[in-house]
Amino acid sequence: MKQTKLYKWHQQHQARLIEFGGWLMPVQYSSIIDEYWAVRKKAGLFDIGHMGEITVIGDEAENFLQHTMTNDVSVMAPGECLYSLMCYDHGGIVDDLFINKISQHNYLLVVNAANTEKDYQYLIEQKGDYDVMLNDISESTSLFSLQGPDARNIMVKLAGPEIASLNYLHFAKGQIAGSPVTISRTGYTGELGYEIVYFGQPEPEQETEKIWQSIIDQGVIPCGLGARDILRLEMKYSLYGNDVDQDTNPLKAGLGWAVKMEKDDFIGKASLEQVKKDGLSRKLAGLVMQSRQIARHGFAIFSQDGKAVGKVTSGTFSPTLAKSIALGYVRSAEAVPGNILDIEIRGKKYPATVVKTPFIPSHVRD
Amino acid sequence: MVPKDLKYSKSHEWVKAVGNNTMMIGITDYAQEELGDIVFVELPKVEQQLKQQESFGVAESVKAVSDLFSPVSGMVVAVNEALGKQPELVNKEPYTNGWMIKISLAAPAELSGLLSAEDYEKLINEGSK
Repeated sequence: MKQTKLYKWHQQHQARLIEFGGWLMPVQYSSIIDEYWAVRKKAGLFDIGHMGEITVIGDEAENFLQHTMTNDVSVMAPGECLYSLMCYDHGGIVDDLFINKISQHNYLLVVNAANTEKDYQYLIEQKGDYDVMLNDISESTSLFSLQGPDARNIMVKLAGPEIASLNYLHFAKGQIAGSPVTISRTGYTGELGYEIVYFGQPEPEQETEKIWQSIIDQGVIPCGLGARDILRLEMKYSLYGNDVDQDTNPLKAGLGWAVKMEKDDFIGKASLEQVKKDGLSRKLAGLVMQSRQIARHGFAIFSQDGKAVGKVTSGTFSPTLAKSIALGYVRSAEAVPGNILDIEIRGKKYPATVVKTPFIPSHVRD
Repeated sequence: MVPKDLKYSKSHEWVKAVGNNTMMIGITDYAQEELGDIVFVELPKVEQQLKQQESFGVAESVKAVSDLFSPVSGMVVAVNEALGKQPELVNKEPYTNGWMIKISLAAPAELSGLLSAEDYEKLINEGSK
């Protein structure tokens, strides 16, 4: 199993480690709920070094990305980040990812850990005559995520006052603990937050730990994937493999905003146009339960008259709402806010109300 | 943390005598630690009859669901209602305010088959190796 450059640090700090996407990652250090509250109320730091980084460099980088991505790369200015899907011809999702535009001919893709190799191979297959060079630099690259309302003040102390003016979905070069880093206003929690990339030159392990420790020394607590999953789910951020995969299309998943049909052409466009024409039979709905049992991946969802209408894709307990929340694909006619459905948990049905998402307000632009 | 004055089951419940024939039952510190943050506890109704090793409910954490097994046979005479709103008491005070049910013993002889604190400690030390 793969390990990030902070593996030793995690071990020394009593992290509980689990397998995730082929990596041995901290699921929690102290308590998932305590770590959750740290991010919602103060700040928390995640090692997300498992995520993949692929560079796309060359004269035709923009054209190549316009062809392979569903979102419109042509509107990006250098220093901007854009969320996009990458689809197959049949409209299914290869991955969901962030595109960072470094310059006109130089882009960095940040992709899901478990999909890194698949994405890289897929991009290579699509390269054809495009004048681009693709490089999977995941091995040498470290990535952390500092999230929470205190994140800005902490980053200003560590990286300097100019970071305060960095807007959401923008990135800039900077320095932390003497090391060159790239800092972006992005995250997977719904809070004000930053993701910090260290490209591993020089001294990948030592420097990575030094940067990480310098953030921790600001009184930030380390957080694991357990808290991260609750935080992202409250925002209805999709998790590849749970909520979206090669068999789901972006429209069904409620990610149509990241699919720009007015673009000339991109892989999957024809299929997605057809989906749009036919109408969606199912949609990803947000569900809030009155009770505290967790509706887990795969649990069946029923209409009030007892018909099976879908399945849960992700579920957790929302500490903010003090109720269980879930996402699930349900028949479009049932995916209407206010509609009451039943989720079967251990042989019994419990009511769940369809709600507008995110489940709680987002603070990413604070 | 394994209090000396309690009896234990292999499935990580503790038993404490709280009256002549009444036993209080909960899960051990080791069990709550393994489960992580508990967000839901399902308990039986008062007057329900339980056999030894029978499931009397579930404890659910963000990560997992775990069945709760009665270490002894008998009738449920009380359940810890506080866990409905504050299931985290099981994490914070597993041996006191995080108790789960009280049972009126049907077969007192079963008590002698339970583990002592010493034996239970051995069990969890082996398990974590």
